[in-house]
Amino acid sequence: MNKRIFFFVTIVTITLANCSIVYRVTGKTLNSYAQDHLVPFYLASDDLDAICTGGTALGPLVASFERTGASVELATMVAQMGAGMCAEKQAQEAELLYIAAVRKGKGEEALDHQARQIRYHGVAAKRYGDAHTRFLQYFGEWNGKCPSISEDEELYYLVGLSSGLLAILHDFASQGYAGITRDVPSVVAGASRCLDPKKWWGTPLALEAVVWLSVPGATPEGKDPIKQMEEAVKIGDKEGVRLARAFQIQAAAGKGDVEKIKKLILEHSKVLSQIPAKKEYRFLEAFAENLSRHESDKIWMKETGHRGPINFSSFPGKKKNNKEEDDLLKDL
Amino acid sequence: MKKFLILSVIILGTWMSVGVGAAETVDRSMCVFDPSGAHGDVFKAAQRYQAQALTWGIRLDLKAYTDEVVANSDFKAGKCNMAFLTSLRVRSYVHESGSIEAIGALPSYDLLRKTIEALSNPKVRELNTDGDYETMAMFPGGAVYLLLRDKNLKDIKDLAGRKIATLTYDQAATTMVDIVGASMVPAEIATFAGIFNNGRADACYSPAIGIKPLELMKGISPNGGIVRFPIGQLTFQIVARHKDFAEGFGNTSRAWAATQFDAMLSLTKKAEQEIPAKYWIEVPKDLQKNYFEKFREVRIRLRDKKVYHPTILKLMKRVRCSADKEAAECADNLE
Repeated sequence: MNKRIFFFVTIVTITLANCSIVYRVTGKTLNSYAQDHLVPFYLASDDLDAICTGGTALGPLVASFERTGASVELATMVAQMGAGMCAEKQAQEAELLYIAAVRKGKGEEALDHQARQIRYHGVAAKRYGDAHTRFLQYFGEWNGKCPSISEDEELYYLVGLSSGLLAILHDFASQGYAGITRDVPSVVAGASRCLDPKKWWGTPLALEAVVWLSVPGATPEGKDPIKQMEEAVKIGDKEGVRLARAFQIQAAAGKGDVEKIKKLILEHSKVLSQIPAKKEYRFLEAFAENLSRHESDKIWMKETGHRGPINFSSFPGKKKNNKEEDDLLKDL
Repeated sequence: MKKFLILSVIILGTWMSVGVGAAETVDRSMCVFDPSGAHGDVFKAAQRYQAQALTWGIRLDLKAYTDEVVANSDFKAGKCNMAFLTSLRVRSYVHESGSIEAIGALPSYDLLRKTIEALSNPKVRELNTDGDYETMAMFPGGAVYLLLRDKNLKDIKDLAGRKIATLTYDQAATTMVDIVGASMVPAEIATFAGIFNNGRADACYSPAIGIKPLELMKGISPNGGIVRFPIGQLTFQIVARHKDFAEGFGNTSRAWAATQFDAMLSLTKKAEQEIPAKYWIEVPKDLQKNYFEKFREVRIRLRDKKVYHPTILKLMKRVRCSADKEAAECADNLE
């Protein structure tokens, strides 16, 4: 009898030990698969919905392998970035409905859409914030000195910085619901200097400039954030990855200058048809396009009560020059 | 006859729908100052106000400004019916409500809340109106703290002869610098952090929300700190020309704004909790008295110069004494 119990206990122990080994190996495999294939596949796709749904669904699964001792920070970071985009899209949708309700003068509707918008901003802030936390776990807390970053890690570094910036923007929009640390802007501005702006389509320059433009008093002496942003956009346009444009339009939206926003959106639309997107990074292109489209839709909704064109290539027309037209049609 | 009737019905129907539509909502505009622009917390608060105002029959068009001087001059020029500004600017329109930020008058958020609630009482509408202008809402913007490069200067008397980065347009601050015998280093919002961090000033002041983004820890490390005694309460207020709004709008608006106190303070509270404990300089009771007395001296001087309104100083003193009846000031008649 004792022998049997001993045998049973031994079997269970071996199985459990094996399971934890199997889990850990699976976690490691999953992580390296994610880095080698899943993330590049993600980045080459321009289907934001698929990526965001995938991130939302797979994020917890990938992150759960931490319990086995596997290091899955980078894969989780990318998944949470995708999940954040899902919440961001919901917030954008609620914002458009809110603008429509204001236009129609429907107070209760406006309040309700606004409440939903604030909630989704909160969820987006939490998810982007989590992505940024994974970035800090992997690369270490920012202490003013650049960590050693391998060639393969640079893109993750850029994604981690971007997620921090998005987290703080959404946290502001949700009345601080996610409690994102106020260190983020200075971390993003400082750490973006660790990447070569030419290699990464000007995005590091744009990240730094957007922080300067959003935090009054943060611009160092002798720096011009607007010029730097323009330089970043020029590099991105040439390379076919126009992520810098997304930040430029965000910064302009912050300033509330509608004419400038319109001008930038139209420029973005135009450049899309002139220079093809880099195939490997179509996802980042789609993300930037989505932001421009949303800013365009906001203007359309406010001025006309409906959304604008999918390629954000025009705005509600100014009054036509009737006299000129009358002359053309005269005596026909 | 039938045709005439049909035509009349159509005309009447059209007129009714236009008429009723116009009666439902009135279009107005608001210039909103937020140092972070449309992404900032103040602009978001303005959007909440916008949604709320719809239920009162006002459709507001919002315009964001990152420069308060421009927002203020646009409001003054009549480019918008309302403006969301700091109390410092509102003071030039409504003397009373703009005096709520009086230096050192409300050393805690509870006292500020009580004051805002009291001022939203319909009985004291006149304390929110001044000539053509009316303050329609008041929101907390966070306590302003003194930051030091050397924590040994924690008694206000120690500031004599020291350099303080001072916003030049802020008369209260320049008077305080004068009364404590310090010297002023002229600064603006865009430059004060650099001046303090580089050691060109021994002290500066800021709400907690600015401390991390402006990296003011660089200036207070390794020997300095943040004095945990609010030198003032920053408030954001909505000011308007009352003729542009229906009678009673102000009372409704102020009552709603008073309920938003906690929501408006949430980011500030988080920013204060986020500051590591080691940076705070606790002020012992006897030194707090020194701060209080100096600040009162500043308030009285500015009251006599017609900068602060005496009625509001009196109200704030009552609020303080209702919370602490034993305080020495409750027996005197200075404010």
